Amino acid sequence: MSRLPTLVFGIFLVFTAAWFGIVGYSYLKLGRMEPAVDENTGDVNPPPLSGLAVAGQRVYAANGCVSCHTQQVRSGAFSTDVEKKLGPRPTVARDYMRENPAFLGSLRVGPDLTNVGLRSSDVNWFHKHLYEPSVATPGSNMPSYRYLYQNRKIVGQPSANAIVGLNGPYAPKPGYEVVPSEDATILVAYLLSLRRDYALPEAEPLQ
Amino acid sequence: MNPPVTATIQPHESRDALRFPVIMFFSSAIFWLVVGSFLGCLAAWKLVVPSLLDGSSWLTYGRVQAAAENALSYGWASQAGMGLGFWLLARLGRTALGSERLLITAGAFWNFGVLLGICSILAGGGNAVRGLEFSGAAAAILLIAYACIGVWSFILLRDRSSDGLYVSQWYLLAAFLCFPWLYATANTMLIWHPVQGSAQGPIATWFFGALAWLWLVPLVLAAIYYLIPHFAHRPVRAYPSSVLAFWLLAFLGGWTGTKQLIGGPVPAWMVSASVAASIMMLIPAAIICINTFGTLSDHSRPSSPAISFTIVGLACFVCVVLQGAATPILSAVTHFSDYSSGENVMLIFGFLSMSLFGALYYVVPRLTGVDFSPGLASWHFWIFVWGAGTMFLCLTLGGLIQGFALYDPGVDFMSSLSLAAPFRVMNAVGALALFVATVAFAGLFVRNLLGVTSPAAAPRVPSTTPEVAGV
Repeated sequence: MSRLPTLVFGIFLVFTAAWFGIVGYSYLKLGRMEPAVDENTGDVNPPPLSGLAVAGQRVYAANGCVSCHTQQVRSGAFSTDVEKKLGPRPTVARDYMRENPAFLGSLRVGPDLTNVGLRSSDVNWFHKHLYEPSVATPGSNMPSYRYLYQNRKIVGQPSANAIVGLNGPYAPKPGYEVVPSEDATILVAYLLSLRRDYALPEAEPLQ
Repeated sequence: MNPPVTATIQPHESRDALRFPVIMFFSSAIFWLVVGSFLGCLAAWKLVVPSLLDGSSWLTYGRVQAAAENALSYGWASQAGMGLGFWLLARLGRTALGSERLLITAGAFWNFGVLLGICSILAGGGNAVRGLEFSGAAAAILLIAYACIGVWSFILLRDRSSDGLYVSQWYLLAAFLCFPWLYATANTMLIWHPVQGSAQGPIATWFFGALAWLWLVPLVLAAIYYLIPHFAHRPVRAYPSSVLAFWLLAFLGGWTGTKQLIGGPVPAWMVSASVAASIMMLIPAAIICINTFGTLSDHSRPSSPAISFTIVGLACFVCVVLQGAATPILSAVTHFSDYSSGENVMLIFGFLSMSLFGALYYVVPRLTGVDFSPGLASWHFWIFVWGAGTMFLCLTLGGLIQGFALYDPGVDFMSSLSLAAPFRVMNAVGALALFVATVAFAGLFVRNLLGVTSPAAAPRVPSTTPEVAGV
């Protein structure tokens, strides 16, 4: 085995094993999924994402949200994710078919966001939480994302999108308002789209 | 091939072969080490004080953290490993190949790719895929640069004038062959032309595991297998078994990654296979221990920073493998907690960085003809070990406590934050120490390049040192 071609061939073989096993299998079996159609209601699951939510994935990726937030409700005997109310059921591969990239994450420095859209649908709360997290959610150690917002002087009519109820050190002075940028708007649209409250035939039943 | 027992070094060969490109790869690697550990330190502090520099999008936690990880993998560990690889291939094969200019150009391109990649992450172009955060353009530049480096290394190996192949050359060949394959696969399927989201998780974790086990680990093991017989002045103990360790490691390496998705949205067999591979990794690790510690055991105490760093690096390697094998026992609590960051510290700073330091302390004086000042080197050693050790212990202990809080349905999420907080403060202190140590090392390296030597260390290398094994 000390001849170079033999060695190259051997390395090729061992590398290919895992390459076919994991990458090939994933591509062929998991990478060509179709949504499930509910026979009773005609609903398509997972539901298609709005254009804003699709665009929001880019902002989620760009700001490294995935460093601290997972998006998976785990299954199995050793997982308490469903008991901890992270979601009505464990997530399965098909839940991610419309995600790009799939933000599975590897650390829970912050809470899991698989079903954050189920926990609140209050757009203003999301903006408030992103703008001043430690004020909106006492005890939070999330950094502020106020660079996604514009703190500007009110000219004429106040904006309908301005965040209501800010009271931290970066709250707007009288006569000013904090308005979400386009990035903040689409990010929140994406977060609101995160809800896995539909049934899938291969997934455990909803709880 | 059993390595020849002794051979006397030929000064011209050691000094001249590839001197400039190797030094260039080392210099840029150390630059990225300083950048990466600075960014890592900044991220660790931002985790403790979230309001620190939070007004700037470029310095938000998620971006800084990703930039740090990538700077350390592609800037530091990859480049230092490749530089060592060229030196080892030239040494072991007794070749002095021309066209250094090609290698230097490729190195410059690689650094440009890393720089572009880090800037793209900080500017908000990150991809949120671990180990693949560099923008598609930066990844393409890395691959193009690598094409020259890889072909060049292969020719260096093919045109060797020595017979047979030493195990270091096996590891280098495996690393140099696997990297383009796995990096191109992952970028194609996740970045350039993403596959459906449902398939991305397993591919991304496969890549992250393989990047460590089929690229960085083999590069470092190649250096270790070269250094150990030189430290001990005798051939590797039970040398034929190292071949078995090599094949097992090369086979299992690709399977180790998917266990990160334990309980996740992937077929259960993928996780089982990965857990099994991580447990079986104990076999090659045991063989590597016999080959290395067994060779050193009769030898005297650590007498140089090169030996100290290599021994601690190897101990960390054992720890990394044990942690991998313990995954199924601990994962209910440790999965997603700071404990897994501790595993990362053990791999990147413990095993990879310390072993690379050991190799650099050995190789650099042989390139420049100037020895390192032992006083500063021992400062570097102790501060680095203290910093990495503190980070590892705090993340592991804090992670276990945080993990119990995350696991227990009766405890709310905020409690897991307050329980982990004090450990994260100490982790940030450790990260600061680590940064200081890397700056000290960079200083030492620059002094060495400039030919500054302390009175205690007369230039004694490389002219008359008897060399053993593999050469």
